[in-house]
This record gives sequence, structure tokens and C-alpha cells, in this order.
Amino acid sequence: MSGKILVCRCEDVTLHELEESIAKGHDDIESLKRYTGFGTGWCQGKWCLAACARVLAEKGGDAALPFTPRPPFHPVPLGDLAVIGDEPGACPPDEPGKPGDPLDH
Amino acid sequence: MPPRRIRAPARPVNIELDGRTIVADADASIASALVGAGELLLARSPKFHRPRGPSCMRGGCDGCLMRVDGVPNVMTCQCTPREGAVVEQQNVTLSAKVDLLRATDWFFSKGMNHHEMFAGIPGAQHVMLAFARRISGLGELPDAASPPRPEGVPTIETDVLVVGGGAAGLATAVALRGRGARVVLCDDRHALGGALLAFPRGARVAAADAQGAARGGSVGDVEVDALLARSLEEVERAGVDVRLEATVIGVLEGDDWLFVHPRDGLVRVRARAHVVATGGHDPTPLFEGNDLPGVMSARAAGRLLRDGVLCGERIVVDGDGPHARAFALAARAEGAEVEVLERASVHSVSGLSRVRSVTVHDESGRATRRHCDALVFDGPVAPTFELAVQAGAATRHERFGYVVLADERGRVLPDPNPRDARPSPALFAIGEVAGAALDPTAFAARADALSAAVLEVVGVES
Repeated sequence: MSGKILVCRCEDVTLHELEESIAKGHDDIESLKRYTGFGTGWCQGKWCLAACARVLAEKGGDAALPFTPRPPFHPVPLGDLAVIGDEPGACPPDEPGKPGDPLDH
Repeated sequence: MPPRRIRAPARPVNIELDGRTIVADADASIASALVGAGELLLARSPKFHRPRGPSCMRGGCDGCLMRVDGVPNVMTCQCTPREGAVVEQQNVTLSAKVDLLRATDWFFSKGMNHHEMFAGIPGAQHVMLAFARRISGLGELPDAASPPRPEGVPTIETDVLVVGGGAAGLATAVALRGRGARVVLCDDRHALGGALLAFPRGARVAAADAQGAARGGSVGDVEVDALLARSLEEVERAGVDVRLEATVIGVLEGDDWLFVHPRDGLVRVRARAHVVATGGHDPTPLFEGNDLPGVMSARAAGRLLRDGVLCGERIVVDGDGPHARAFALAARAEGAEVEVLERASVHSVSGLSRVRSVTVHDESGRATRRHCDALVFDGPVAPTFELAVQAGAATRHERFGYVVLADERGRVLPDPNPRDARPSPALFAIGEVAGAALDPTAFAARADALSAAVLEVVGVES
């Protein structure tokens, strides 16, 4: 059995990687997420965010705010979202999203 | 010993797992049926192909993702089986139990830093990229295109949308109906009850506050099943518009809240006030082997037991909480050997494809090892803040997670720097999402005060 401690199951990020990344200077929650990929997998942070934030805070990093939670809360089939484009007032499908459009993050 | 069924399914249906027929319960999750048939290893992790099993049983981890009827990445803990459903493992080379790509896990013993690996070496990078693409990822494309969805997005107009059908959400919905507001209650699971359903049958839960007695409960002890039955009856009688299997997926421009239902597809709810009662995610214990099948939260173990499935014969329980206490009692009553760790912490769990032993350190740091089938952990949950923050809520970081901040009547404090263009105008939070410990009696009292505050905003005449 390898001795890995997983901080993020969905992206297979280990505690070792997380601590190394913090030591490299990725010491706020958004940079740490972007560098290690924690919270970017299937569960979108449901399993890992609190644990990673705790480790970050213990190492003196900035964990004051969570990373921005994006829709959808659970993964859904793309077909369920496709209908949004047909809505009046929604972004036309051939145009890039307007700034601030919540579906365009 | 692998997990086993302790009770036959009340409404049996046959499902097929990799060619083997398993009797499932039509009212319980597919994952429960698989675990009950002794199968803990349901999935493989995307990079290292580590064995995975259900750890939360409520849609918050990757441990039960499977291919169901030709559709990849189905959270089998979140859906009930139909007769003849075909369930298959995904992300495996050779077989689920002997996945050749598991070698990746041993090759990268500390982790895989993709920023530096083979970076800058011409050629090697491309080889590595091709390799990574081959071994990683989740599932394969569906067998068939998904059936066409209804055109456009139907809209439900209501006074109040309550998200979450646990103790807090149910009490809130009933209190709001009592004051004359129209209420839509969405829950992502197939049954109402939330964390109450994570107690085994017959469990009792403490009601900490004295108001419990005044409201008809006995202080210190509430029967979960009686409470659940009463809440469901109240919800029914009050005429709450309940939407089950309705995952509220996001908040758009403040007052458009969207849910997805497996049959109806995407639905928009336009409400004048929103109550977030989304509860909490399981705590995440950090020790070696913390992702091994058989390591699960007390809530997951409790959900399994409620579905008639015991997660092992020898079980170690780490951490304290109402769910851990209730689970330990119920599992012992079913004949399991349960050790609740005191003044000791888990150092590691071992096993090739599921938990076989746990190494524990006592206060002096002395290590001892126990053979066991499951490690069940409990502790303060991490508030499920996601929707509240999308709607403009402020949070505070605590050791256990991000608490949604609300005033004494449940009105959410606005984020000084909202992330969305327009926050929801009348946002409320109640229960574990607001940092409270699970206490149905206290939640009922709070729901009453909250509903009065909501009515001041919505302005419905009672």
C-alpha cells in the first residue's frame, strides 16, 4: 500500500503535493486550486475544499474566502443545459458570453 | 468480511453488475444494493487508478461513479434502480478488481506534478501527454445520444424557494406555509429527510435546547423515525410543492434559480425569497489510505444501514457526533464488532482494494494495529455553501469549512464583494449550512423565526 494521503480524491491530489505547492508560494486558495487542481474534479470541492483550506490556514496561507463555486452543483448532462441558449435574452450561441454572464465563467 | 445485507429489500428489483444479478431495493440507492452484495470497490480514481468506494453516499465524492444503462458517470448513491438496470465499472483496464493501470499509483509514489513532469524536454512532453490522455479521465461516451429535451425552460413562480429537504428545510417549508406563503422545496435525492436519513432506523438524536420540550419533544432525546414521519406528514398536509431528485444547479442573476430533474430537465424557479438549507458535506479525514474503499463517513454508514446494509463485521469508528454514536449502537445491535476510538487517532488504513486494517496512534504516539473491514469517521460537517455564495452570501472560514453568515432571524449577510453581477434580494439560511450542529428541535424553533422574517420581505397576508 502506498502511503498517499489524498486531499482531493477526484483529481488524485496528495497532501504532499498540496504542502509542496504552498511552500512554493501558492498560498491563497485560488492559486493553490489552480496549481494543484484540487477542487476541479467531479465533486467540485465538496469533499476536498474544507480540508485543503484547513491545511492552507495551518501553514499560514490565506484561506479566508472559498474559491468561487460555479454552477452546476452536481454534474448534469449537457443536453439539460443546451435549452438555455433558446431563451429570449440569453447569449446567442454564436456570440461569446458577455462579461458577468454567470454561465460564461 | 465484506459488507452484507442485514435485511431483504422491501421492494426488490433485479439489477446486473458486470454480468452478475443483484437484488436491489427500488426505494434505496443503486450504490446501497451494490455494497449490500459485498461490492465496495465500485470505481477507480482518474489518475492513479486507485480503488474507490462510496465514502459519502450523498453525491459528494467520486466513490460510486459507474456506467448505468450505457450512461457514464452516474452517481449510483443518488439514484434508485429500475428493474433490469445494467451497471458497469468504468475506467478499468483488464477488470475492475485487477486494474493494470493501478501501476501508475506505485510509479508516482508522492503524487504527480504535471507542471514540472517532463516539462521542457522536447518529445518527452508529447509522449507524456499522450500517455496521460490514455490513462486518465472518467468513463467513456454514452451508448446513445440523450433523448431530446423539452424546448425552452419552464418557469415555476412561487413566493419562497427552499433548497434542501433535511430537518432545517422541512421545518422551514412547513413554517412558511403556516404563514400563508407559497413554497417550492427542492431536494436532490429521491427521498426527503437529508441528514436524518443518515441515521439508522430506530436511532435517537439529542435535542439540545429547552424549547424542544415546549414544542412537544422530550429534551435530550428525539426518535428520528417518529420525527421524520411527523415532518413528512406536516409537509404533505401543509401543501408544500415538493420536488425530489431536483438538483438546484445554480443561481443566475440573483433571482433565477435553476434545477435539473432527470425527467423534466432544466426548470427555472422565480421566487421572491430563497432559503438555503443545504446542510453540510462530510468532514475529510487526512491519513494514509483515506480514500480506500471501506473508509466512509458515519452518515454514509448510517445511510447504508437504513437501506439494510452493514458495512463490515469489524468496524473502527473515529471521531464523535450524533451519527457516529447512532451508527455504533445500531451496528453492534446487528452483531458487528465496533470499536470507538478514544484518546487515539488514526494514522493509516491499509488494504489492497479495501480496508483490512487500521493503525492507530495513542496519545503518547504509540502505534497499534487492528484488523477491520471499515473505518467510519465523524465530525463537524463542512457547510454546503455553494448556492448561498452564488446568491451573494458572505462566509467565514472555520476549521471545519466555510460557514454562511446569517443574522439571528436567518437573513444572510451579503458578501461585501459579491462574485455574481446581482445577488439574490432576499436570501436566508438555516441549519448546518449556517454553521449550526444538527438539532431538529432547535431548527424548528429557528424556522419559525426565519419564516416570520421571510414574510416581512415577501409580504404575503397570513
